[in-house]
Amino acid sequence: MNYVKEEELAFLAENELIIVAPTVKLPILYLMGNNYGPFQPPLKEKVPIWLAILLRNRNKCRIVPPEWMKVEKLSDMLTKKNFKSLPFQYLEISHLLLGCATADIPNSNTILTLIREIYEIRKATFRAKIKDLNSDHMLIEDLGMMEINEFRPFVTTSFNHIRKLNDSYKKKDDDSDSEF
Amino acid sequence: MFGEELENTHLSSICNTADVDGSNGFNTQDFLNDDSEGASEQSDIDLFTKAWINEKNSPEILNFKKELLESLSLKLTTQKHFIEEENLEIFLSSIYLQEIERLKFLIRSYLKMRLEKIEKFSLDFLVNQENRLKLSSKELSYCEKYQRLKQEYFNKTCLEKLPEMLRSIEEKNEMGLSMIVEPDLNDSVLFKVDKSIEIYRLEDRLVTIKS
Repeated sequence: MNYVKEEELAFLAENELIIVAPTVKLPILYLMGNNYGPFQPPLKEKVPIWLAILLRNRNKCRIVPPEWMKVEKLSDMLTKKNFKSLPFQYLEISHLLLGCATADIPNSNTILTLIREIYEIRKATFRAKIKDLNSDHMLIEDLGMMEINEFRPFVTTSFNHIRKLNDSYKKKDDDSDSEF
Repeated sequence: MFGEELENTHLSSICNTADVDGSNGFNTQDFLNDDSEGASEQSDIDLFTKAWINEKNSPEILNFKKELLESLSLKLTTQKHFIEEENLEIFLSSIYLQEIERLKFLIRSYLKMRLEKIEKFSLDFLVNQENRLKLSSKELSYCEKYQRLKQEYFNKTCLEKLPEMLRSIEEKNEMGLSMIVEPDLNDSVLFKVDKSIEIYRLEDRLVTIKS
């Protein structure tokens, strides 16, 4: 079975939209997915992350960090242990944005540490839940894309093992029934 | 987009393929299906990205997305013409080119992924009519050629030297054990539940989710 690579996850996350503040005028971009622009400072525009990174690398825009990517928000989530307002691909998005635009994101170092902490906590919660795995399903509430991908090999393999054991158990039952 | 969905209990669960897959077997791993406004607004590229994710995570080959691929390749050609005709400045054209490269990457990766599956289950496609229909005509001819090469190789290296009764490579024994490599349709999958549910159907029984 194929597992999605980290680079591919980043590739997918690059399709998510974020807000940028252009620093130069640019005409409308007639892209295949959608049209973006015209870019007219100081008006802000919503563009996919890959485009934002391209513009940022040429100093043609500043990146406006998303709502959740703020120190207060993240530390609030940490204290309340409630991560419902994090986007599905929060790890990839924060990695991409912090990678190209540290200067645009206030307190980027603290944010990085907070996100790592959140990631560790969620991982621990997940590990604690593994015991709930049964032969039908396992319930995991709000996991991110990257986290799902990380646990997928482990969970699917153990799930398959449980299922096989369960099946052979049932089969044995059926066999002994027919003998009598 | 995410906020709305997370209001409901937002679950990701693992489950047997059998119940969710239904007969046509797709959309079980729609992780990116976060568009609650409805599927009609999604562009071809979004739909193809979804098809890519599904193909990547499913044990078996899924239906070939012929129409989608045709419309995307048409889009690619028109877009290339557009760039040539507009005489854009270098920076702008680099944006357009990057989008083209991204789409081409996705298409290449999709086709390669399918070829991998075809090589793995080549005999199954030739024996099993139902699975054969999931391939495009080019994929089918690739599959036939690949299987022919494999068969010749097996014959030359080993099978020729065996007694005739042991030469077949597509036999089934009495226990139902087959020599043909088939995808494991009972493999587990992960899927995201959009609306909260309490009960779902698994094979022939109902299962309650306890949270």
